[in-house]
Amino acid sequence: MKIPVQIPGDTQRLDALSRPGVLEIGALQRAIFNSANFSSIATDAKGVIQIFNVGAERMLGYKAADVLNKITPADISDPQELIVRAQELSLEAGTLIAPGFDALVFKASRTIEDIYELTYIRKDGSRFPAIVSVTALRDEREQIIGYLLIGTDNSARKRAEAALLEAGALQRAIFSSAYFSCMATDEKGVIQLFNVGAERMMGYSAADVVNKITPAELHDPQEVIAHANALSVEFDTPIAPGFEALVFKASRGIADIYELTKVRKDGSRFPAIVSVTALRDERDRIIGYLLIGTDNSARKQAEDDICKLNADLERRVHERTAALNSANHELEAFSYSVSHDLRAPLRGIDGYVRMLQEDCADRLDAEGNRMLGVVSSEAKRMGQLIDDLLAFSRLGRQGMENTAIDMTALAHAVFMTQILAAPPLNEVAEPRLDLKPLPPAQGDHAMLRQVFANLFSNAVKFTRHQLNPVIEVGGTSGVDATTYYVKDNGVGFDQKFDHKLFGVFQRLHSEEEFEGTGVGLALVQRVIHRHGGKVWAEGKVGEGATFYFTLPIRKEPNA
Amino acid sequence: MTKLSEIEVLLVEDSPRDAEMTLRTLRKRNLANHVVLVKDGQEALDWLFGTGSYAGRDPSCHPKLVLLDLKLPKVDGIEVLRAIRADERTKFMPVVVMTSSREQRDVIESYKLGVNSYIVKPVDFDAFSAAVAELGHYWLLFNQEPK
Repeated sequence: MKIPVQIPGDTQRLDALSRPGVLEIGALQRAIFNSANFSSIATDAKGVIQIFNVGAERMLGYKAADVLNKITPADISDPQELIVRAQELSLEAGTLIAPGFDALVFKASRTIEDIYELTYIRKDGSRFPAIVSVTALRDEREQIIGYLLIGTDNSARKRAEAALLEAGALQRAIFSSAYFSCMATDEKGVIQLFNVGAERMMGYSAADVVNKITPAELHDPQEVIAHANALSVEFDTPIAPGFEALVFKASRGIADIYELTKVRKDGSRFPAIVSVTALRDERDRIIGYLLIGTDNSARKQAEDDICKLNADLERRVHERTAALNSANHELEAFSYSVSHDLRAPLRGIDGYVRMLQEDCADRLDAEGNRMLGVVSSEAKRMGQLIDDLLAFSRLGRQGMENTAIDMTALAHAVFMTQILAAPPLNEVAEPRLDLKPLPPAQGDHAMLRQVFANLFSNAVKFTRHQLNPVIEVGGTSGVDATTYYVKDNGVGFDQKFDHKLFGVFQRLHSEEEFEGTGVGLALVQRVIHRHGGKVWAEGKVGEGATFYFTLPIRKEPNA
Repeated sequence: MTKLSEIEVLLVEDSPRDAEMTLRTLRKRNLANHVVLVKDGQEALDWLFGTGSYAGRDPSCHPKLVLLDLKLPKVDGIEVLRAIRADERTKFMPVVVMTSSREQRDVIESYKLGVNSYIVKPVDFDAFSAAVAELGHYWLLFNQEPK
């Protein structure tokens, strides 16, 4: 085998240096062979690698010793590409070319200049695109003695190409977008580029505007003036209400996005959001401006719709509130009227009966006086009914306080002041209070006082025939609510009527058995419901009754 | 003939029944023999300030007590009370509201305007006449007002 070139300093090829007839190596050749950025591979006529320079070692990962006299460059090329290349060359040359080393050097062997792109495979199996130039090496008699394959790594260029392609695509996409208007101007503002989006939005064709007008003429003049004035104030320098106003910030290198109304060719208008960028040359001098705009109508419309919806909602809330207020006022007027007007005639009835009794008692017999007594007591009863009903109605309307309440103390106080201090109801014995310690509660103190007062007076009333009347009060804390009960050993009630217990004016006993208006328990229920609790009762005829109520446990946010 | 200066009670009451019961009680207890009864708020103001049908009456002649119902035709009791307290000539005049209304807003409004007492008329006649008698005693016999 003959080696046509000698590589100084390459110890692996010392034998080649000593050979006669080798080429004088010029500085250029030395540079090429020493270059780390070119792979230089020389083969013998059959393709077996004879020289493998540092560049080849670096690019391909093989040491020269790995390949010299062992393989051909075809062995480090992508086999699929070799097959394709062989087929193409076979077709081109009209002769069958094997998909091996022949395919790599066929053209060079025919003295045709050959530079091709090929994927090289490194020792570790990884791949890179290479551009390979192939030259046949010939002796004095023009006999081919070998081939020189000089390759460069084409990865960087490939990447750059891909990036360029991408950037170009992006630019093209932007410029051909129908949804963005892109206008490029020269440094004076004269439109140089007017994309399809701009044509579509503005109604002008590029020919109408390019080299003719500035973007300022496509805006609402009043707004441009206002914009210029605002900028003049902001930057404390006079800014003309024209193109300068549109690009002033961009010309100072400030990112600028503004909302302005654009005016179409037909005079119609639309709100636009415009982003302005200054275009600069390599020396950073402004050579023009790029104005990218979007039609903001849809967003404006959405904003307007939201505003309208909000206004509508607000109006409806006002209407509802007004309706509620007026209903409340009516209710107040009603109960005021009940309070005043219904009571006045009752006072008249009772008053005139008493005057009659005072002035004319001697002219009435015992039966007449008894009947007058009935009229009087009925009037008083009606008065009591009205008072209870008013209290019940007032309870639904009045505001609630929310304080921590010591329920044990409250129950005790109510029993002492409102039950024991009242005229004795019990015909046999004073009722005894069996008060267990009660869990504390959160709620309206006055209302819960009323609850205990009504339950206690109920209990006292229905135990009044007992020899040993006892009112037991207790409570237990649950997870979400506390349950309290008031239990008596009185006459009790039939459980099948328990649904009537808490209704207004509902009574389970005749007036002669036990007096009452039937409002007390309804009031208890109303208070408990307003606190978010429940109320119910258990009882048996002759075996007493137990009234339960719950109050929700309010979780403190930081507890 | 009753002299104007001798008027002891101005009773402002639109209900003739309540008026009769009140007058009867005052008379029976010998508390007020000189009572003027007016039937609405306007008449009360005219009497107090010597205007309208009472033109010529000297407004500086005070009754010792005004018994004022709240729910009145034309001008209601609250407005009458407001006018009494707003006028230099009458602002110290003892005014007791006697009404059927237990409504808190009436009680509070009356106290805000400086009422001297607020009585809810009891339905029970005995209680009613006891109340009238007690307040008559207190305001006509015991109470001292500025001269």
